[in-house]
Amino acid sequence: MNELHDPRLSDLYRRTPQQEPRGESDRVVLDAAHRAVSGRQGFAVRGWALAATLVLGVGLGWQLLSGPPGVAPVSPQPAALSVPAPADQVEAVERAKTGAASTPSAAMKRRQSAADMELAPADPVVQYGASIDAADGQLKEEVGKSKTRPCNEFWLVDERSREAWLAAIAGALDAGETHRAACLQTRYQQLFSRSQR
Amino acid sequence: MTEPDEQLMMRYREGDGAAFDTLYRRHRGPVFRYIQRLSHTGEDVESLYQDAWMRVIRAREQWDPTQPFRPWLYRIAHNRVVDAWRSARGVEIAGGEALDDAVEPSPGVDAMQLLRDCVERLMGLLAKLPEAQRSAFLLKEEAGLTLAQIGEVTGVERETVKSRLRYALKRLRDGLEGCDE
Repeated sequence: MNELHDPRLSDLYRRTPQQEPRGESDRVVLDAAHRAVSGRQGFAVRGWALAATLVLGVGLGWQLLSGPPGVAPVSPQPAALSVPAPADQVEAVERAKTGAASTPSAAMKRRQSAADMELAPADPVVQYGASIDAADGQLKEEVGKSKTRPCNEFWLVDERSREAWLAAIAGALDAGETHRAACLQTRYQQLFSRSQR
Repeated sequence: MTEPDEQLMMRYREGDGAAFDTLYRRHRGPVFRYIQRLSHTGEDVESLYQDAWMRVIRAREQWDPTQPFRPWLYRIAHNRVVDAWRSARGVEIAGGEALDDAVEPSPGVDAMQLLRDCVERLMGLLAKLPEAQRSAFLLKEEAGLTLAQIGEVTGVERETVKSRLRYALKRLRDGLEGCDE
């Protein structure tokens, strides 16, 4: 024992009644404690729910845009489709179909102006009803090139028609041109999600 | 292995409610008894106790993880009781008053009865200790804090804590005469 520590006194103190709070106090405190931090977890849950909703929404929209499996998308206004990129692909498809070599000047002419491009056929795949599988190696090479091209090359000249964008996206998907499809979809979302606000 | 208080508190701050449950179970009894034995008769101990924990919950972001949790917890509990004293009588905590006459030991009883009497006397003596001395004693015995930590909780120097404890122990020993056997 020292002047500040008395083991016998400590022992006696240990024998005093060990009162505890009532159950009601426990409930009040624990409820408050959980409520205080539930916001953090709730935020995370809400975040996941929002992400899941977005994924589902985009997936569903995609399904609707693509139409039933095996049915080729048909543009309501094929002439209104004016995708700059297809110029090469049209050529490629033509070459694939005819086997004739296309002159570079033909391609150049197609790129000359927006007016030219508006007159150009719509999505080549839709226009000719051909598929990537039907095209020869030259076509595949042309399609492959599109993966490296900047997105703005694929954008429609007339951006106002939703149908035109949707048809172009569907056409790109059918053609297996995921890069072009992604570019078109991004631009479509930029244009029409903005206009909806 | 028992998870340290500090780790549990860190987890709670990060949103783990279960960590708080463990922390609460560990300290509920001692904190309750500290508040109960430091409070004056007639004060709503349950309400003070709940309030103290509410303050812990609200101030969780203010707790410094580099500091031990227990002194912080008891400082909050102590301050809650002090606030109740102040609002009840509008004065500062008394430093040390004379102890009333100690309870007389009950003569002629067996060992168990003697022990019960001694415990009862201790409770009576404790209740009559000046608040500062009672607080120092309870923080040492109930919360297991060091002298320095008691100083942190009550806002005084270590030497003052020593002095308060010394007086408290003397009064208790004097009042518990006959309980040594």
